[in-house]
Amino acid sequence: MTLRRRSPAWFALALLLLAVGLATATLHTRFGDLAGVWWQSIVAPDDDQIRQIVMHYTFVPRLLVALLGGAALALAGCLMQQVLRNPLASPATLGVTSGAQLALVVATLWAPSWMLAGREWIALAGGIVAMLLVFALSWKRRLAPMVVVLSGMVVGLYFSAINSALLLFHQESLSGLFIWGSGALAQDSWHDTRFLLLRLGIVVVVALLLLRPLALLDLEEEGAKSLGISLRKLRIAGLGLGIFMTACVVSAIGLIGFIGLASPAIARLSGARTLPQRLVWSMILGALLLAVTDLAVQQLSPFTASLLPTGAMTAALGAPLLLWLLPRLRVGGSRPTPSTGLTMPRLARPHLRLWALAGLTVAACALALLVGFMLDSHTLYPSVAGTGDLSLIVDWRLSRVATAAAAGLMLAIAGTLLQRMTGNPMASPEVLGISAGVAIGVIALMLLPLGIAPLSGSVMGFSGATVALLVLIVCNRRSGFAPERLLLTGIAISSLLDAMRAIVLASEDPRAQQLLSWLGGSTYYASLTSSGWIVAIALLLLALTLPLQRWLTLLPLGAPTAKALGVDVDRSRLVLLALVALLTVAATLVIGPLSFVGLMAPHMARLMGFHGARHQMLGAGLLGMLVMVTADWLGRNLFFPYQLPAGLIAALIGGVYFMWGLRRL
Amino acid sequence: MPRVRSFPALLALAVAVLLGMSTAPADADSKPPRIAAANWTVVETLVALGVEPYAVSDIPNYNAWVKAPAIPDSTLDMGLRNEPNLELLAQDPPDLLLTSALFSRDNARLERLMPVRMIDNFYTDRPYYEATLAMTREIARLTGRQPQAEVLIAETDAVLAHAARALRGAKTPLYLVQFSDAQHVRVFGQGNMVGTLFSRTGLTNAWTGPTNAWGYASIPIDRLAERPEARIVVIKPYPRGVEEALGDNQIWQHLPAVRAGRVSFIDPVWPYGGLISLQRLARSLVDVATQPPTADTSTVSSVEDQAP
Repeated sequence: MTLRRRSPAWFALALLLLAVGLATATLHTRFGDLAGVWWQSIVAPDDDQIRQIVMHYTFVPRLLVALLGGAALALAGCLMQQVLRNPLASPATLGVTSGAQLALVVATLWAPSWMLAGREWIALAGGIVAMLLVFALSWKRRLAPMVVVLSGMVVGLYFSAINSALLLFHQESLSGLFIWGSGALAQDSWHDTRFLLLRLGIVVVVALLLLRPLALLDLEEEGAKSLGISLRKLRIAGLGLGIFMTACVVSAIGLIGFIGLASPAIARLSGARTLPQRLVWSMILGALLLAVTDLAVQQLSPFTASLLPTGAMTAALGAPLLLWLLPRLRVGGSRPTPSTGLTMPRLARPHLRLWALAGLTVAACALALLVGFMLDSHTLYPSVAGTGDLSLIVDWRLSRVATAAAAGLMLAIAGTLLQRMTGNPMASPEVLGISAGVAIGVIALMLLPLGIAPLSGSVMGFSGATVALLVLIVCNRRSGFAPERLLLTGIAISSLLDAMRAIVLASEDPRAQQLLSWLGGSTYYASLTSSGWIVAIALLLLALTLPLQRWLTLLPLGAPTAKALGVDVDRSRLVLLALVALLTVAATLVIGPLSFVGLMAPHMARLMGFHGARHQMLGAGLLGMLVMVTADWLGRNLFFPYQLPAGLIAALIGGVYFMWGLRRL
Repeated sequence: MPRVRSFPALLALAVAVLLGMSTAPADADSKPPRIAAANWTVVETLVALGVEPYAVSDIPNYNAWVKAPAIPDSTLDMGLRNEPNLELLAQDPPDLLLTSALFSRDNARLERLMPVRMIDNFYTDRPYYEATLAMTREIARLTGRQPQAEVLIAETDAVLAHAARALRGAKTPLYLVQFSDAQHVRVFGQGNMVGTLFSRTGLTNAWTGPTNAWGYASIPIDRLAERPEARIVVIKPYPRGVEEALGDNQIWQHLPAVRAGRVSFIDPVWPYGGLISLQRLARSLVDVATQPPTADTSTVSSVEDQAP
């Protein structure tokens, strides 16, 4: 694949030419009136000439900040990938950026005076908390690469769920954080430039000191150990450096997700072999990638009334690039932890526990239907509904409870199928990008001026899911749907959704609130008819899935074993993928793409001892319903009459359980 | 000047008289209809017409962003604007739910509980002022408050006429902005309340660039230097953290308007609102545009601090 003696230099040169061209164009369009005094404006602007001041404090620092930020993120990603021996590692996939963002939102809302001490320190604290949490979760597995990334993604999901809940209630006062959250690079002084330059310098120096031991990680673990290196300390040092760099960038210029993942990958693909080569070329490519994107955004911005956030645009442009790179990327070295490693001892009598779980689920449904707030003239009080309130229960609670339950069931089954099929504990409809595909379709419907009757949300959502599935198949067919490739494709598709979400939120479109609510997984729009349909679809798909246990039992043993036992591996994977897609589309359309349940329920089932394919599926299905129904009830009543989306609450309560389970591994 | 200023007061008296006249027979007829409203602009108009809404959406944020007129204490809060709490409304449904296209997706469901009307002043083909007048009259018709609506409209016309007279000499173009963070503002242009004010009063809007459907553009603050002679009027409140950050913001500190002290701050007003918001904005603009700006804000005075 990378046999030819290629060098990243050509790619970097092309980017550099593009950057110079765009910068010159920007100078001419935005500062054409200053032609002749460009240099003077940059170095020593005339204090009375506002145009020179603007150029001095915006154009130049912005360009430098883009270069520095890109280089810093690439450095952080490169360090993290080297330490974890995993091409999926990056500040975003390890939860560091979400942690930093959440810390800033919390501080803005409840301790604004802390912000005076500096946003960067608050962001750093958040990033460190996220990473400590990830360490705590993966400590017992000696920070094994896949467990670290799994923990990181869980922590990231958890923090962004809390973040979304806060944004839902404080949209007007947090609008600035929307802009920051989507990575707008606009500058108003040289402060950020100095800030980043100093931090980047320090981190580069420390990284150079660590270069030799870090390079030894290229050897197999045993080899590195025999050279007398403490892997644990080395990993903590390398990761710590990466987090510090990330927190600095996040606090200065916001969330810019894609650079940290892509630059090291591009550097490696285009021929950088040794660690020093990879570090240097990653930083150069990262710097140029961000600068080019930002310059392109500046060229576009005079034509739009809304703000184009650079960070989100980076992700939007980067996702196709990542998809193009995928077939060329060698994801070796780190086989995922076999799924059997994530189980508790097999239960002697799983049936008893299944019945207990079913009983619990029924009880949760009863609670969700009967207990709520009642209105007495002008006061509200929590109460159990009586027989007189039957129409209230049937009309306005039953539809939501049934929708939540059906969605939970479908997502749990989809997650179980994926995890058994890929033998990968990180697989879930959300990670695979199918939920994201549905969401992209729905957002596109909202953004485009297509108010035409036949184009409903479900049609667009289904088209989105189909496209996502096609991309998954096209990118993975040749590799026989190898687990890691599938996950990477999913991450690329999801990052496209993140970009669209960020662009919509930063555009300050008042409809953003509605979008946030749907993205969070609200059952608000469920009606008796729609919930009837969704329940019927869920039961039908469940009935279709149950007879496939043989495949689900044999596939986790690995493709060769399954083939030897008479399973047509490709065909079975394709059928299962199709089922997963149908389950995900149906669930996502009613409850949004925040399907944390799909990742969580199968694990919870396994942690409870449901080991066999059928038992795990039923157990996960029941747990999915239990979690979603409880979440919906809590969301409807915690802040009555204000309602939190069920998907969000499911992520909040389920996340705690899941982290607890991870810790026990 | 004092003669002109007493005009709204006279009108207020007229309103009070008319209110007293019209409510008396209405009480005798039947109970007034109980109205729930999701859209703050409709809420504002209802309260301005003397209706006590049964339930409205998101009262805490209304109080922060729309501010006036104040919602009566007896009014129920029915949750977020785009998700009126149906479990709450179902228990004692109002006689009418007023919502807007922005906040409703599936009215067929809601109509099983109560009649639903979509009313707002944005999702129409008409210009803002005309649409707002139509909205006000429609709300008045639904609540039987036509006389109050005509008084409110007359009062608004008077406020606008007074503003036009007071601002006749004001030649300086003006940016009307709301901060979204320390580096970005929403600058208001044509086709909304602000556009109406500019066209009715002869004020010149310094922002002539494109705007979105709600009549504003999100721009970095350095673009406020494109018209160096312009005055900048900032609608409060600031988002959190902005006030502190502006002190360090070199662009803000170097903007011609900031250096010359041509920056004014006005009280929170809902720039997408109804006639009361329009009146409040008009009064605020008259206040800041006819009086020399008082250099009481920290951001303006800190220019002197920074000067070498």
